[in-house]
Amino acid sequence: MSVPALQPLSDEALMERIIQRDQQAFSMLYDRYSAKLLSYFKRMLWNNHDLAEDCLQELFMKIAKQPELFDVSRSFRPWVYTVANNLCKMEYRKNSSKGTKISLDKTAELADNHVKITDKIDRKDFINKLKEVLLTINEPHRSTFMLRYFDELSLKEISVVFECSEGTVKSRLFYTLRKLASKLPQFKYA
Amino acid sequence: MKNNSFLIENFEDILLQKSFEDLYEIEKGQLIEEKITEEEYISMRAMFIQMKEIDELEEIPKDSIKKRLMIEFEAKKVNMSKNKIIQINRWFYLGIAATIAIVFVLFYNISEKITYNKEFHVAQKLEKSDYLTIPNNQKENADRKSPKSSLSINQNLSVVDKIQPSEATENFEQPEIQTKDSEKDKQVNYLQNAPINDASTLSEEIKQEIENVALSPAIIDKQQQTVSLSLAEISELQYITVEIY
Repeated sequence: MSVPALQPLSDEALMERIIQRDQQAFSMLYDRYSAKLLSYFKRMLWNNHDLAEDCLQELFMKIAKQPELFDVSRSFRPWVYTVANNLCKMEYRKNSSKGTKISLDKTAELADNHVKITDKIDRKDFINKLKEVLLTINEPHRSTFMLRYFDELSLKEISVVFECSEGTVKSRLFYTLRKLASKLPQFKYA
Repeated sequence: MKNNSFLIENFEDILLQKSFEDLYEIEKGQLIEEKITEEEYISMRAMFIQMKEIDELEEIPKDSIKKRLMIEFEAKKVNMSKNKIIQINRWFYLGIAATIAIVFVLFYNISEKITYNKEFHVAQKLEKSDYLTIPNNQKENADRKSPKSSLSINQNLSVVDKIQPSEATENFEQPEIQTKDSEKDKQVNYLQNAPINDASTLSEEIKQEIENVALSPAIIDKQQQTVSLSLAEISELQYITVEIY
């Protein structure tokens, strides 16, 4: 089957084909998600591009080797973000065991200083500041916030990723937003 | 569940659409319960509106990652095909082995049966031979015993010196049997080769004889439910096989 013919297929249908070892379906799924997941990994992993690419490769390697781990009766997007989130957790553990974990307090301090010395406020600048400050937010609030406002997952999908209620997701989002607003006061009148 | 008591259900819509002044009293009350001040609300709203306008440029991963993944995917596919072939071969060989085993068992059963029938005929032959040498006064006793036991009775006779039942079955073609009257042997062989299978063809006299020797040795083939009655008592040394269904 040609690639254009696969275009209208849902993620779940593509996964069914991947389980049957359809290479084009795998290629299509990669094209759909690789950029989004790379951005997610980068945001989650201290803007480390190489590490983000390694994680992306590892995630798709899992799909290539054991696609049957995915339950085709369920939604693909929450599942793939759950796997991505688990990979990030593994990276956090690795870093903490190596003693190379970025100090959250220090990061926050850097972010605050950076914000203070910046006069020119534009959108790109805002995004950069936001990402920096987000690194100071604890898990799972940070990943919840990113999945919602950067990866645009629904509240229900996020609740599946974290195996919690939608109310919990809303609460996390609200308090993360409150914290960010307090850490980035320069942007409030932008 | 933790944090389930969060009151502002549709806070995203509220933040996007309403300034603090536009909020209903009930919504303001909810903010107060969550300990959100007016200033905090304004700050959060500004932040949220800017965030919603973010259109982050997505980075495209390196091509080499995709190439590596596709190679891995293809390799896995080939491995799976090989495994399938191996699995099929395994079943094929297993099938052949099972067939050989079944054939062997069947062959073994058939050969067992043939051996059993041979033994039976040998026993019959020996019985007949012994019968010929039993003196008249011992005939009745010998008739009521099995062919094997009749051999032991005849130890003092000239037929077979100290021949044992097991030996008798194994050495049924020993020369001592051949020392018997050759004419009688011929009769015995003839009758063995042409057994009477239908009792109705027997004369009334012979039938009566059969009834008289009802206690004669019987060898039952358990598998075929066949009972063979020795008719050594009959002057013509016949035997009959009666199939019981």
